[in-house]
Amino acid sequence: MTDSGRKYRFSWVLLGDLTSGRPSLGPTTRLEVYRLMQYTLRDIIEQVCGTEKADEIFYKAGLLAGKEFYKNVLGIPADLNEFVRNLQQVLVDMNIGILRIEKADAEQGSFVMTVSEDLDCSGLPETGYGICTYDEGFIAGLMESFTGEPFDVREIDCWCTGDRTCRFDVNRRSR
Amino acid sequence: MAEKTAEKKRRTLPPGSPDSLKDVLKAVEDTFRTEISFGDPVPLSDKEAQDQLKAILADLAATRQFAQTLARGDLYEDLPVTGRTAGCLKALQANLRHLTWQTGQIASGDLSQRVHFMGDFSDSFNTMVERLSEEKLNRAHREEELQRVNTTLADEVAERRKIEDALRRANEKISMLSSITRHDIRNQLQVLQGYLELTLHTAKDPVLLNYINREKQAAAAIAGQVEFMKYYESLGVNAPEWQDISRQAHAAITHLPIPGTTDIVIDIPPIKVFADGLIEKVFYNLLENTLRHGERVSRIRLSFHETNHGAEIVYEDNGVGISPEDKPFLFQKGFGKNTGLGLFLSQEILAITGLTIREEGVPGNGVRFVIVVPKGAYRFSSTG
Repeated sequence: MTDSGRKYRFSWVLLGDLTSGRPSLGPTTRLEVYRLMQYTLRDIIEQVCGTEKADEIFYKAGLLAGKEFYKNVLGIPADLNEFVRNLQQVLVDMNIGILRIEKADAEQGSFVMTVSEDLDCSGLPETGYGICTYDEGFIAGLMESFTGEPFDVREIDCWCTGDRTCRFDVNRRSR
Repeated sequence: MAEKTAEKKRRTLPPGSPDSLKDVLKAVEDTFRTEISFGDPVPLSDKEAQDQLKAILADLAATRQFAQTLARGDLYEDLPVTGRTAGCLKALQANLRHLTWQTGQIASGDLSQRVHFMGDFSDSFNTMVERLSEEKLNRAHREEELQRVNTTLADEVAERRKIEDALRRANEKISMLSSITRHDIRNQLQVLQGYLELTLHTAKDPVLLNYINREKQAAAAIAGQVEFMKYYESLGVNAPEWQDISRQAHAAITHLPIPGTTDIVIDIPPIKVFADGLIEKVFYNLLENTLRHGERVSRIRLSFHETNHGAEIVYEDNGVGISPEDKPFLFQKGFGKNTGLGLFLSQEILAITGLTIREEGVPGNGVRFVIVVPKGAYRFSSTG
């Protein structure tokens, strides 16, 4: 589909003016509502498109979100330290999760990050498989925006596999 | 399919004989509590239960092994086990890895790192980093201030050098003018003294002879003052150096007609004093004064000794000494029976490097000049 013929092309403006739109209730809502939307959406997409496609869609949606988030929220960090520092702070300020860096080799483009109290999965029942596909895409989008190069992100530990923190292996895509 | 797996995991062990259950519990306890390595599990009749027990014991053993590795400080071991217990240990590992990374960042100078959501540790860690940060900031301010002071000093030194150069050039010109003028005066003075001498031999009138003698004295005084000018002009022209005192005193002696009846003792160890190069002139003036005014001098002695505040070079003779009424004016310019400039010049030469001179002899028993050398302005020298 060409861009001009699209109905739902994302724009940051679509998040709306929450100050004027919700003068009484404010910009926040219960996390259950967010998860209700995500998991029902995921359910239907899987039914319509299959599991693999559903994961791909979620990853790509996360990727787009990461890029938009970087552009509209993080600004232009001067270096890796500032990028990590700002990201950590924003994720805490917006109650998204607690980001921690375990390893950062900027030269090799290799990182290991963890997110505790994650928006998507913390507190979910153990399913035996990782569920944070959207987060994977989100981190890939952030890293791509910061470095200008594509990244592959894979979740290696998740609340849903019994872990207490989600751990992501983040690697620059080999050229 | 996943639900089925979970259901299998939740299944209770099949009922067995009390002995089998005991054995199962013992096997679990051993794996959990002791260092016994995991071996073949207790044989159970139910194959599925046997496999489940085997898996549980393997996970337990791997978890225990992981905890041991973590306790040793190795943060990079993987734990291929899922579930709450393993999850908590992996969360601990993740936090420790993150702290290791943060500490590395701080070590490389990134003091913006902060630890969140780790209880008291966060407070202590963050306080430490804030203090480091403040210290770094203070150090940067101090370095900046130091840099500023250095720049100011460098500017001042450069300015001072310029002024010194200008002064040196002006001094050179004055010195040259003075030298030429002095030379001309001396030439004219010699002519004047020559004619006075001729007039003295031809004049017969006693009044006239008296006048001529006075004119001769005045011409001699002018000659002395011109000589003084020569020395005074060269005062401080060259930078002070470490002067061998004994050698300077000996040099002064060789320039004066010391009578054979006068015994000179130089009792000075091999020392060097930081002084102007004209210090020889000090000894020369003291010796000349002795010869000129001492009247009955048979002994001159130069000695050196250290005091609480530095050292003293003492010049003594056994002449008539200096009268009490003359003592207060001894070092004043123009005071004295000859040119009145010798002791004044000596005092000026010594003052260049902080040395002082005083006279403390007993009238009638000779002079005793004491040159005071402060600490740091003299040193012993075995090489001379």
